Amino acid sequence: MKRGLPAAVALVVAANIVVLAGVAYNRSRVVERIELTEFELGQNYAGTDNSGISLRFEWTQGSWPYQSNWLSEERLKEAGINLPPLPPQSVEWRIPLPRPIFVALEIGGESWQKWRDEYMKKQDAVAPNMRVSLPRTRLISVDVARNPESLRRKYPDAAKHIIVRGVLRLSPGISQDRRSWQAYISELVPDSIHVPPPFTDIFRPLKFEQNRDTPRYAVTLCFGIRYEPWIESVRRL
Amino acid sequence: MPDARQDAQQRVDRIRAFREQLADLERDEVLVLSAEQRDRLNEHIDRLQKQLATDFDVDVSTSQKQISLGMKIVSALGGLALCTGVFLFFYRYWGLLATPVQIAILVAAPLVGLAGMEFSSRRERTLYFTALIGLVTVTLFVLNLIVLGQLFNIAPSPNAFLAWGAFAMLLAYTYRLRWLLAVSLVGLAVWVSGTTTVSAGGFWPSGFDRAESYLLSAVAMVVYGTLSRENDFSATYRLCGWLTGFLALLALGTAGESYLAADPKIIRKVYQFAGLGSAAGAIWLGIRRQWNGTVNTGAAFFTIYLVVRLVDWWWDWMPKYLFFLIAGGIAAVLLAAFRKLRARMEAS
Repeated sequence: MKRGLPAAVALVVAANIVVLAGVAYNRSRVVERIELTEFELGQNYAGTDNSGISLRFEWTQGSWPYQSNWLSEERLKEAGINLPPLPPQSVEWRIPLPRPIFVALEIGGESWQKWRDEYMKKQDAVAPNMRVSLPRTRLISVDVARNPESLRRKYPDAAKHIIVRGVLRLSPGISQDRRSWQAYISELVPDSIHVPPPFTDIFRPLKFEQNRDTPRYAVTLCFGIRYEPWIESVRRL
Repeated sequence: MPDARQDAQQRVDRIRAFREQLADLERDEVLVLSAEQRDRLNEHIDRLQKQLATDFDVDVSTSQKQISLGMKIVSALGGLALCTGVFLFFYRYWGLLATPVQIAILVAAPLVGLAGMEFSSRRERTLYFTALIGLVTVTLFVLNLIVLGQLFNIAPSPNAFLAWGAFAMLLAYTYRLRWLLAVSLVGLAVWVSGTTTVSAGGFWPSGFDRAESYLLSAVAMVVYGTLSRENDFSATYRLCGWLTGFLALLALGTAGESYLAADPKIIRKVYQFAGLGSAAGAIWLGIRRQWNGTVNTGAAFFTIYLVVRLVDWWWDWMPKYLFFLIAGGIAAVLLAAFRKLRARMEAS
């Protein structure tokens, strides 16, 4: 037997032990537990060749056309995220690295209601004949921070706010001749949740549909110490 | 073993060329051997070729070489089809398996691949099928960690590339397989880039947007390939280093973002000249050290950089016919220069 072979075997085994130990550590304590419906955790389209089932987060940042971005410079400074200085007029913008952050998502609370009302009001004022349907999700991002503890101190009710990992990006913005950085949350991490057996039995009979009027299921999602989620239970609605 | 086989194949090729040249000389009556000399020469060469073919499984004739190449293409395509079929089979029925079964399959798959490599290496001299199984084994290990991450919704980390790179490198050195060494170097370069990005406070996949994070790995590969003992692995280190560095410089000189705190336009100009300069430097070094791979890689990227610059500087304002005429003229000048380089390499 070649000398390197036992080392290669050991490496495969060790890597898997590290990964599974990390999973066990994450699940050793539940830091958040929330029930979300099909509107917040939609099915990912799988196709006939793929028997795996996963759900994706459906959420809104609350910044649509005609509304200002809630991720202002002041809000970001509060969260410990400093914006780079604006470049001089003739110099090209240097786009900073996207940053990993934690995001506070509110579920069907005041921020969500306020966003819906404001949007419809502005929509009526600017384009009253245009028919727009808002996303059905009740999840709306309300805050960001570099660590989850500061967000949880600010939003202590875990039934109303969940803290998840995300990625913050900056892009150049020019609005009414005023130059500024525009911040936005480009993705949640992870943005898809694997559905393990036996919960797959509930999803298999369901056809992939978007824009439903009523949700067909509710999922209890847990988050562990590393804010990696898993499905605890599923029920049909 | 692959080193020795390559040497043996080169020797067989030289013997075949010698025979053809001798036939030409005899036809031109420059050198005519006596019957006894010819018989002794043919007996010696035939015995030598037979020995090399037996010991190293080399191709003695041109037609054998063509068939070997055909066999390699068929076996590679067949292996790819087989792997695709196995993958799609699991893709179809994966969701029906219980999680512990899924984990067991994921962990066992690369271990079975390792067993397959060892089994194959003991039965073939050329290690061709061992190399194919090795690529599949590394792919299985990559899938192992990726799918585990998906099953448990794990936040992605660049450290997986360290595990994959180290695994491929272990196999490369164990079985002396250059393809696996190249794969390992790519994996380790991605790990260095991701770790650099995380240290800078960034989200690690954005390391692909900051090609500077690949320059350090590129330099390390070229330096190691230059200073280490000359063998087939040192050539692989150099080639991977040059490719990584040249591609990074190409990205940085066109649209890539930089870590440097300066005007992006100026930084891009600096990297454009660095690209041309390093390609020229690679050609010079390759000629000095007689490294064909380095010369060819340097020449190819010098041409690519030049074309990209020409398009960037002239395409928008120059009449198109003039642009292509000048580009053709530059190509003719480069061809003449490369011909001179080739003559110089042949002379040395």
